[in-house]
Amino acid sequence: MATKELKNSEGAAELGGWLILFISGLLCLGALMVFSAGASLDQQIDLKHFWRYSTLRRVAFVPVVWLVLAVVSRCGYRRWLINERQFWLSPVVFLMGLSIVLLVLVLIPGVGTEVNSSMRWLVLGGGRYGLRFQPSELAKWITVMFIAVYGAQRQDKIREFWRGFMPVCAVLMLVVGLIGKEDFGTAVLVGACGVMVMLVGGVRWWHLLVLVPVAAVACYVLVYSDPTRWNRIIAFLESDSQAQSGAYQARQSIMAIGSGGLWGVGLGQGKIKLGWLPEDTTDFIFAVIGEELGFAGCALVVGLFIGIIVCTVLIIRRTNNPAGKLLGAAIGGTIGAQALMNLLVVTGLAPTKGIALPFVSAGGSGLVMTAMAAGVLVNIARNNIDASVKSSVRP
Amino acid sequence: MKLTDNSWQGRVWGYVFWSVLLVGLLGVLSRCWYLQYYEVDQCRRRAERQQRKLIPLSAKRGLILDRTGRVLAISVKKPTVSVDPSLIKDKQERIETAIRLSEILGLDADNLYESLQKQSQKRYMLVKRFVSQEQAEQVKSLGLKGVMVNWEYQRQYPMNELAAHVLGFTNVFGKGLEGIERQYDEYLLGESGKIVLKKDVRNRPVGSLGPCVPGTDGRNVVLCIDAAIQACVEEELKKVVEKFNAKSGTVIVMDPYTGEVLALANHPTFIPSQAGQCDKAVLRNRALTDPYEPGSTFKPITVSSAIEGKYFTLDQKIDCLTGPYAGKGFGRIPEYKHYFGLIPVSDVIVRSSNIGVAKISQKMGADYFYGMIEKFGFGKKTGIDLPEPGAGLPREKTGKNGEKITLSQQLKKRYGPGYTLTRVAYGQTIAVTPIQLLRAFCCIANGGRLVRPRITRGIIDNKGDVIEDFGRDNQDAGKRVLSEKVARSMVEKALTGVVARQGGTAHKAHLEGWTVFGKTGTAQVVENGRYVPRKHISSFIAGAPAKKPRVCVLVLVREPDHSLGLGYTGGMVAAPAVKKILQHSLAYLDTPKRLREDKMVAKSRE
Repeated sequence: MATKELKNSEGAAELGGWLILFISGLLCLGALMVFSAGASLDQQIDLKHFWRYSTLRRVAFVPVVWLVLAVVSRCGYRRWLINERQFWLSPVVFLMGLSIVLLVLVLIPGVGTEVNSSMRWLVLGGGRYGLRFQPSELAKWITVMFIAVYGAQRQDKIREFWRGFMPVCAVLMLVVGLIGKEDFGTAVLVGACGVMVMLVGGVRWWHLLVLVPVAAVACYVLVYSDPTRWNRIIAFLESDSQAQSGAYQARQSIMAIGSGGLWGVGLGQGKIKLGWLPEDTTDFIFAVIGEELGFAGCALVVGLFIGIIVCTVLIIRRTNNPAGKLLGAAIGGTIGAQALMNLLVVTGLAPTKGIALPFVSAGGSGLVMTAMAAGVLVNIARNNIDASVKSSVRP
Repeated sequence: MKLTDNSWQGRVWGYVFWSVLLVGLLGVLSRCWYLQYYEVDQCRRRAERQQRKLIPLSAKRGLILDRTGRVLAISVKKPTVSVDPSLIKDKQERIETAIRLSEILGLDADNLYESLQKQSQKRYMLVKRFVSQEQAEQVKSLGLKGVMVNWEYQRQYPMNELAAHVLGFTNVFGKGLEGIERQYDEYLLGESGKIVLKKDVRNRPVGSLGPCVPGTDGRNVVLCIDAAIQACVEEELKKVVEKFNAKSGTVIVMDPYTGEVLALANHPTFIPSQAGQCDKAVLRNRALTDPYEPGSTFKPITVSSAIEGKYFTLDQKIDCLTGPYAGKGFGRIPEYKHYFGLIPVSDVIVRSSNIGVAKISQKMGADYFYGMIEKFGFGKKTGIDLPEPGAGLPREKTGKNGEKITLSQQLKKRYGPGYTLTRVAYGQTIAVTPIQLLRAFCCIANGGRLVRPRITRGIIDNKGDVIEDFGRDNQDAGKRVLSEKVARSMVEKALTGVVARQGGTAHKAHLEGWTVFGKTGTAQVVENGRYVPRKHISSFIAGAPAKKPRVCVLVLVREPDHSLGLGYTGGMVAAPAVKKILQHSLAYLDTPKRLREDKMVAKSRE
């Protein structure tokens, strides 16, 4: 037994290395492509104020992300588990509460900042460095991690409707509702991932039926209340409507990917970034990759994500601690789900919503949060013996 | 146990979850393959179409010059002010743009604001075409958002209405619609070049998509028209039309040997650059389009045909009776005022006897006479190099079975054969265009050859090199219609008398320096198939000098006002104008004055 576990753990630790490799691959490719896509004739770049240019900021974020990965992956993931004696001081619970407070705060005019007509940002100060922070990014990861930890640690209760299922469900609904007010895409992502984690964690599937009417009403209200979202869906369903409508981004994106061909038009040679695709460095970065690097670049990106998913599956197979398993699955799954949602939008297979491509898109707080979660996943790969022993001796 | 129980279900869900992710990602990849392998060309085409910015390099339209090189039409680059309304975001900006622009350009601010409002989604709106240089500078200095100043070619006619009907006009984009502008549009247009650029979303160029193709300027058209003669003609025509309060008038001046049109004018006329605001009827080149019954001006055709056919000689006497000539099959033919009795055939022309020519035509017979009329070019287009929709009435046409129906076949079927024959002899029941009539007259004047009228000498490029020389076409042009001898005798014995002799109908056209020959006509106007009393077309067709004519002139005045009491006959109305035109143009052309011609005139006076 011991040798097998040891082997497992060695293999898993190696997987952690692979994971970091794949993530670094995406990170560097992303930095390169964001830099390429952001190159424009508009502005002369003044290096003394490099933080003002999102493209340069994105490059500067690469070492930051590596640092976060290194630090978090060295902190035992057990710290994320709920301490029953100090329930409210457990990091996951505490951060969950904090996220909810921040999500409420960001909706208050004057506290939150409006970007692209959505209130998603909290300005943390930092003056000219303009540090901003998107609470929904924090809430996304903390929610799925909270559900995973909660579900894994209360396996006996989770199958009971009132004592186990409902508290988790209530938290999820609250978070999804608060995010969905301003950011429908992320809300859908959090909702879907939360439900999946619950199911994997052992919640009886018919308990979730309770959520169906609630989700239906919420979707209706959230989508219908906002003409932009409604238009995007209509535009997706009637794909032949005029380019001026909500389908504009998707059409431009498809055109860009298609014109890349198999090997792309060459790095920096793409034309779609000349303002034709407004979100070229953020949500639609994959379109620029498709145009400039062609099918080869697309395959590389999709392959790296598949690599991350395969790594995650292997890590949780080799992890004995149920909490570690579920936490790892939640993190890896969320990364994969977010990537899939983004790619479906960019290739025109799903209606447009604002979701970034993990590790690739420009954007600071989301990148750091994702790196943090990935760090936890790497740590799970490294620490599984220790964790499994601990969990098994847990009273 | 509970734990394994839980994880059993959870593991299944886990597998589902991972499979969905993997299948989804592979789906994305296959979508990429589909787009990048199968749709790559279509996508690239769409992208190129979207990102292509085409800057046309407009070619300068060619000049139109008169025969000595005076500029009659020229294209000049002028600033044009336009707006991209989509760049003007709010109402305040729109109001300001409208007010500032209308102040400078002298437009109505409310109108401008309204159209800005209406077209706020559009990317282009014309504000004012062809503004002055100063206005353009002022507009530029305002620096208003979305306001553009481009340069476009404006067609200008430096001599205003001079030769308007010959020149024709263009639309604002420089496409020829009438006259020379239309006839030689392909030469004048030139070829516009282009620059194809890559652009970003804000329409700014970011690179090129192909080599720059420079445009070629249009060729220049050199007319046969002489501006000096044309100006004189227009002045005289205007005077005569106004003096006689006539409806309209037409003058053509032609070189009888080459068919070159030296002047062509209609009154009322127009300024080509303002053709858009003119009445359509004014724009019509009546000299080429409007058929009319020529009346007595047709008599030289009848008489010369008879002499050519040896039915008569000019000296032969013919009984023109002392009362109306009436008979079965042709009705009653009166004279205009006096009856002439027994006179020589030449006097039939000089004194314009209807009965005389009627008798002559009866002797010739329809077959021969109508054949000669066709030979003189009637019933067909003259082939002048201008848009020429008219060919007189009746005209050669194609029957139902595709066979050609000639003028003479149609004339034979008109009314009674005998009636038509005698009426055609003095220019009734047949309608001709002014250019047809003058061409036939030139045939008599030049010794019997039918020339093709020409309005253009040739095409030259900007360096002055000749691209096409149309003059050569006319070198040996002209089928022989009359023998040299017949034509000369017609001019010298008959047509000079019309002017020179005291009893001639056009004594008012007598010139001191040169011998004028010609024929007057006072035709009745036909409306709804009937002759209208007191409505006439008074014309005089003439040439000079008789020995070797330099020019032939047709002056045609439609419906001079009888009530003025100034007369209405061709001799009274048109002949003085012809005199002035001949006097001026012969002097201008430096034509030697007569020496021995006096003798000839004296002879014809006998």
